[in-house]
Amino acid sequence: MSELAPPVAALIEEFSKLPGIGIKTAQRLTFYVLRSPADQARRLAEAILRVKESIIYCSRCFNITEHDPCSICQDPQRDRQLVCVVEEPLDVLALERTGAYKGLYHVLHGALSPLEGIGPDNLRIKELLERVRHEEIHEIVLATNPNFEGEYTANYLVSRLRELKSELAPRQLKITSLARGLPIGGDLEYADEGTLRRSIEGRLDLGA
Amino acid sequence: MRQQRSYSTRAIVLKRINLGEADRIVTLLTPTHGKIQVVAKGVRRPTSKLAGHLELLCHSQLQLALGRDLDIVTQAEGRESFLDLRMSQWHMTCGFYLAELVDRFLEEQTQHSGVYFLMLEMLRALDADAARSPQEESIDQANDPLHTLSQLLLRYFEIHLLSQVGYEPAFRACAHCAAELRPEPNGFSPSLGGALCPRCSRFWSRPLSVKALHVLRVLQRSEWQAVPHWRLSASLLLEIERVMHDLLRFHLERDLKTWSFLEMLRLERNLDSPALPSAQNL
Repeated sequence: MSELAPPVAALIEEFSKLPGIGIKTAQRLTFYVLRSPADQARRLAEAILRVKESIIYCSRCFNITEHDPCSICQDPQRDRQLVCVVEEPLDVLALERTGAYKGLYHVLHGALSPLEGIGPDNLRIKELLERVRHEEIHEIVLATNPNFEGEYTANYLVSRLRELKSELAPRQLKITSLARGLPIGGDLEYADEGTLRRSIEGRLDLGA
Repeated sequence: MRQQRSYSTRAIVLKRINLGEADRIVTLLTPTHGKIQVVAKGVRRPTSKLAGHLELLCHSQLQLALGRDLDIVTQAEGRESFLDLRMSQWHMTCGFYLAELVDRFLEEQTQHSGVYFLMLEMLRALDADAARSPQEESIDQANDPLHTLSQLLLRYFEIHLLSQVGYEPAFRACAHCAAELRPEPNGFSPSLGGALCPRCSRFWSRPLSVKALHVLRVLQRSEWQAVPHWRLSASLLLEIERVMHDLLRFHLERDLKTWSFLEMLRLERNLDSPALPSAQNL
């Protein structure tokens, strides 16, 4: 890399620190930036800076936001008695795209994982329990990922929330989870035992 | 002769690490290839045909294609998914623990069919135990608040895993002077690899009660099916666990990450569990 001008070499090095980007891809990206119009490069640089400088966590739901509280927490149209617990901010985005959910969120920022040493203190679990204590929440929808770690996290949350229930009386707290079942566009024969079993248990009445 | 491009194997999923957009590197325990790492492509997408069969602790039949660095999963069909185990926080944590132990003790690409069959037997037993414990925590607590059977299962697994990888603990004769151990207060030393008689007490790192030694011996010499369904006191269970953890810590030179989770669940339970009636004389 000694042949390259130092600014070029520096950009290649920075790109190659990104996840999934090796040295060859970093070189391609760098030369793409080099050949692209100056204002496009400036917009990229500004976007990166803005993300670091202006993005904060919502103090209520811990989603990423520019303003605290975030736009979802501030929205008066939202059902404040309903809180959906997700692992990552991107999960909020996925649920919002459906347009079917009208409640608030709580972002844990990960899932419990004994194998990686991620415990309850590494996630926003304490904050969730505080919210349940102090806000008029009537239903918690657990929407952690439908894998082993996600279910482990959900199991943990259920036991903590159950402990809390007596404290909340007379307010009722319903704990629900997203349904498990077959993906649209999938093939029944490839479905695993766990998914099929849950699909049968949660079969729908078509009202014929 | 042309080398075969793919092979088929049974496997237990020990660990998964996300890779790229939607892939995962999966660590498997197989009967013939030992512990191997393979790539499962696209398994993080909801429509993946492989995903459900490559969940943690699943026992599956896999077809693997030879890759440049890591082999690639081309087909997967679940044999056992241990769904009951996945309904209980405690049993899930035990499952995590078995996977972590195996992952720490086994080198990659070394055949350990004994460990594979041991792990499978333990997962089946854990699953059956989880199925027996009702889901409602309160009923569960009345029956077996300490999870005695699953705690003994963890100790059984530790002892037999150590034996399989060549660190068999000595519970019959003194690990220092080889004198036969008698039913009297003995001691234990992880660095000497087992129990020590009172005459070698200068090497003790902790005392070992008669009851604890008895339980450890039974676990070591029995098949799992033949291990009695004791009701043991919390302190005895803790003593046996400390002994085994000392030994594991000595061999691995570190603590296991799952220990703190098992401890956390135990603390939650012990807070409100009453003193236990002992059903058997131990």
